[in-house]
Amino acid sequence: MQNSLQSIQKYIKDYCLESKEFDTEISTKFQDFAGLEIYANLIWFGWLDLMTCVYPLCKIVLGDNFIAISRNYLKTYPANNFHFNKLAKNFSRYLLRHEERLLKKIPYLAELAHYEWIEIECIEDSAHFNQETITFVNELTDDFKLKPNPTLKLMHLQYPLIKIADKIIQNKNSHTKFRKKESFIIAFRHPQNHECVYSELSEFAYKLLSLAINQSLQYQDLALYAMNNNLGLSPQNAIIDSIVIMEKLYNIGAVLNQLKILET
Amino acid sequence: MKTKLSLRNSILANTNFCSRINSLPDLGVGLGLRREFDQYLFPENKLLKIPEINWLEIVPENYINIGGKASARLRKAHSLYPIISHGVNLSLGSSDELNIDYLTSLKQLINQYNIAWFSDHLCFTSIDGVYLHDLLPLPFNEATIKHIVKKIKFIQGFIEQPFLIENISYYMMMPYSTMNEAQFTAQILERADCGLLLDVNNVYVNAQNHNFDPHKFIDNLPLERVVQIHIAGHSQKQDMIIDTHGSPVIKPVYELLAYVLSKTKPKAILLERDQNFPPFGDIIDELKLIKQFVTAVPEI
Repeated sequence: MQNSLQSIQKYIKDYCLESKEFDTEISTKFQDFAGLEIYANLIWFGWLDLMTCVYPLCKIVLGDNFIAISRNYLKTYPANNFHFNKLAKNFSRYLLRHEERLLKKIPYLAELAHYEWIEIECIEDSAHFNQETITFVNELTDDFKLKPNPTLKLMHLQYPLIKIADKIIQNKNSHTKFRKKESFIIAFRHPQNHECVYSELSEFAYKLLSLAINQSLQYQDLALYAMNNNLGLSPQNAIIDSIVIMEKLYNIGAVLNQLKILET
Repeated sequence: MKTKLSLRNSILANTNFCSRINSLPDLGVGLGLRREFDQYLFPENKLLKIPEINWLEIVPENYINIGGKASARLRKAHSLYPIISHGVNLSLGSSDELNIDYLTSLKQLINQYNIAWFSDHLCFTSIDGVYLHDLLPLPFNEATIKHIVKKIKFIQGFIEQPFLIENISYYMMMPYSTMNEAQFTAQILERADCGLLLDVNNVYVNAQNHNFDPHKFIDNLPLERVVQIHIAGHSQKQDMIIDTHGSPVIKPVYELLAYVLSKTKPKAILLERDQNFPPFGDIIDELKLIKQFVTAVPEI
C-alpha cells in the first residue's frame, strides 16, 4: 500500500508536469480527472505567476513567448526547494543550455535573466548587517579591514545590462537590439531600506572590490593593489583613486565601513 | 543508554496531547502576517500594537534562512505580538522522507521566536524531491494513516513543541480511499497524539464541493484536540468553490464557526487573507466580528 501512495503521488506529479509516461494502472483507478485538472491549473498558475514577478524584463523581451518558454523551463528544472521563489533560480541556466536558437535571436537574454534573478538573491540573502560608522586612523598601516556588504554579488557581463534594463523599461517592447559591450556590475541589498541596488563600476573598481570580497584585506593591501594595477596613475594618485572608489562604494552601501585618515 | 534528546522525546511521547492543551496560551483572535500588511501593522516603522489583533501567524517558509525585509518584519512582529508558525511544505503525506534540513531550520525559528505550537497541512506538497508548491490530497486509507502517524511522532519528538495538523480543502477524490475524511483525520489525530487546526472554511468548501453535511463532519472529529481555528473567504469558479483566501468570510462559514465554538474552546482563531486585499479597515472589521462570535458563545 505504501507503494500505492508513492505511485499515486508520482502519477499526480507526472500529470502536472505534463510528463509523457503515465502509470496506466493508476490511470484506470483515477476517476476524477476534472479535479486533477484543477490542481494542475492551480499549480501552473502559481509557478507562472512567480516567473512573471521575478522576470518582468524577460517577459517584455519575450512577449507572448514568455509563458511557453517558462513552462518548458519549469518542466526541465522543477522546484527542488521548499522556498517557493527558488523555483525561478535556474532560468538563466536553462536558457543557456536549452534555448540556443532563442539566444541567437536575443543574445543578451541569459544575462538579463541572471541580472533579474540576482535581485531575489540580494533581497533574500540571510545575512544580517548594519552599515558601520566611519573609522578614523592615523595612517594606512593602522589595523582596518574593509567590510564588503555580505549580500554583494559581482557580475562581469558581455552586455551593458543596467542600460539595457533601463531601455526595456522605457520602451516596453521586445524589438530593441543591443550591442555587446563588456560591463562590470554589482548588486547588493541596501543596509537601511533592504532594497536591491545595482551599480556599474569601472573594471579597476570591480577588481578592487572582488579582491576585498575574496580575501580578508586590510586597507594597505588594497592600496598596494591600486599602485600596481591602476596603470597610468602615480602611486600617490592611485591610492587616492582607490580611496575615492571605496568612499563611493561606502556611500551607496556596497561597502559597510569607511576609513578616514586623520590629517597630522 | 539514552541521549538527553531521546529521553526528552520519550517523555513527550508519553504525555497525552489533550492533557497538555490546558498549558498552552489563550491567544485570542489573530491575523496571518503578510508583507501586504506591513504599512498597517508597522506604520512608518512605528511599533504600535493594534488592539483588534491578538497574535500573528507566519508561514515559516517565508522566513527560514531569509534576511532583509522579511527578517525585519518578523522581528518587529515578534516585538509586538505572540507568533505562531503555520507551515506549507512539511509535506507530511509525501512518500518521500521528511526534509531534515527544513525541520532543523523550523526548530531554530520556533525556538528563536518563542512559538507555543506549530502546524502544517494534512496533505503532500512534494514527491521525488520535486516541490509542487500546492496542497495536494491523500488517499484516505490505513496505509496512509500509518505512514503519517510515524512521521508526526518523529516531528513532535524532533521539534519538541506541540504540533497541529490542518484539514485541507480538496478538489478531487483520491483513488484507493477506503474511509471518509473525518474518519481518516480522527484516526491520525488519535494515533499520532497531536492537535487539530480546524479550518472551518475548508470544511465548508469541501462540504459544498463533495456534497456532505459539514456539521456531521465536525461532529465526527475529536474536537477536544482542536487548538486553533482558521477562518477565511473563498471564491466560486464554475461549479467548484476554491479556497482562495481572497474574499471576505461569508455568513454560512461564520455560522459553522459558531457551531464549532459551541462544542469546543480553541486557544486561538485566525483570519486568513492572502490575496485581493481590501482596505485594512475591512480586515479589522472582520476580526471584530470573529471576536463577537467568540464572546457570544457561552462557556462550555
